[in-house]
Amino acid sequence: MRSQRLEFAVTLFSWISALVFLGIMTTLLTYLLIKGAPYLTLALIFGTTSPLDGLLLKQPVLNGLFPAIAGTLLLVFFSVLIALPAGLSAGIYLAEYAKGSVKGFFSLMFDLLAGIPSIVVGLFGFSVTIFLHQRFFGNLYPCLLISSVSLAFLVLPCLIRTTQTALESLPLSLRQTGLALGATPLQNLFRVLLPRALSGIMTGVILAIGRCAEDTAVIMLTGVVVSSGIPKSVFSNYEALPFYIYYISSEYRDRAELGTGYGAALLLLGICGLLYFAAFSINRRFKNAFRKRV
Amino acid sequence: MEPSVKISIRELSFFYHRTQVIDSLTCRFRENGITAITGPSGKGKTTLLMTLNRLWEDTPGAVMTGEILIRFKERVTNIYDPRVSLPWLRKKVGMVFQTPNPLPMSIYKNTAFPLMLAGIKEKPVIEERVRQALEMTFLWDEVKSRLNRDARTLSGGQQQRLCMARALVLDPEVLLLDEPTSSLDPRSLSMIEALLTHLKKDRTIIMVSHYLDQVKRIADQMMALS
Repeated sequence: MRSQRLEFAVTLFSWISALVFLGIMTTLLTYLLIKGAPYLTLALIFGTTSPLDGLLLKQPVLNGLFPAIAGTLLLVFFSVLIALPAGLSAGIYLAEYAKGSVKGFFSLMFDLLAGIPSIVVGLFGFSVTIFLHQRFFGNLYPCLLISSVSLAFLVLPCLIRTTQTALESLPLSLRQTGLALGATPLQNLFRVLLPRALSGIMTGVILAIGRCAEDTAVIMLTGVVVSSGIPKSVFSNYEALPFYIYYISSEYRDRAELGTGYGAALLLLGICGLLYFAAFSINRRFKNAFRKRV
Repeated sequence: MEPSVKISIRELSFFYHRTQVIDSLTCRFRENGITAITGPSGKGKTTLLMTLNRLWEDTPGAVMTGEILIRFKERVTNIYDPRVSLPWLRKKVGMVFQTPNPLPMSIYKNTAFPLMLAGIKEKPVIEERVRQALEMTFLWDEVKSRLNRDARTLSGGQQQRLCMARALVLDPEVLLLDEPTSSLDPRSLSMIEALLTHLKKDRTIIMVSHYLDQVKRIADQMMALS
């Protein structure tokens, strides 16, 4: 009787938790939609420039969010590009090669890195830039490259951990299958283990993409500005959506301007959704390709 | 080591985290034929198989002492000699596990996988050897029309015969079988037994088995671990 009641209580609690979570999410999204949807027009993105000219970079978009969207996408692209090889390699190293106290030491270091607040990572990127500027490269200022490198540091622990966990959770029997058939450890890694761990690793990549797209603290100190247009190179300043949202919500002059902030928030959500979707499809593609190739 | 002896084990002891599983075992396995290893659970039957292809070495906390010599066609080899390459050894000493373990790829690619690992690239050679291996395990006729299907769509008995074909495709001199029929239905079981009786003519087969009637039917030599 008591255990039955307990069963019921646990089930009820789970349901309530799920509903509360769903409720919060719906409220948040509806609120954003109500506030932001009216502003979500082509004019919000391209301002007074014609959309086609803006997209083809024929004319600079001066009063729209297009440069911020481009900046965010570029930022995500470069950060993941820098973090991915390092994160995957470190994760593989921890899961497959590191042993004993060395493994413990590196795990502790990566956990510490994961615990560093993003504003500190930003400050670090900023100080490194100043140092490089004074000592080596007089032309170097906070820019897209510095932001990407700093963000890469921010998401590195997450990539390392998911890669490591994905590999370590593969069953011993799978590990032995390849080896028993005469695979070298490297062949086993690339032909058997990594293809199987790929979807786990992809989760880390997706989390990293989200983190890069939404982070404000790091980029604030390392190169983002309110208005700069599309960056000309990785050494230029750039705009980004989360920073625009932060800026507009703290310094808006009228309702319409605040509204563009909500519009930007919706855009950022949409972009994140698209990036997740892209990552998922790449993941599925990869899986099929591996199956065909091997 | 006399010419008729294929494998010679001397003073083999094995520990998992200080628990002794095998205590100074000395024995010999004759060339060609089936040796059945029997005994209660936890007496190191699977471990003994894994000392013959050194597959235990990745297991954390495992320690082995002793010496194992195998008379390969080229020469008698101490398989724990540091100069022995593990991929080479495992191509000579094939292994089939208790539960069928096809990799998540097609039937053809599963069977060709060891050839690919060994760096064989000529397509006609691969095709020929895949066919031979699948014929040897009586699987060819059943799967020849669907070689590109995922191997996991096969039945349990077919999967196990696929795994045997995969272990045989590199023509190993020694074949290790860890209760290969324990998860199979009677029909697949008799097929695999027939296959083993055929294979033992020119191969040394070491098989862990729980079934005494099976041991009586096909084994030439029996070893009880207790």
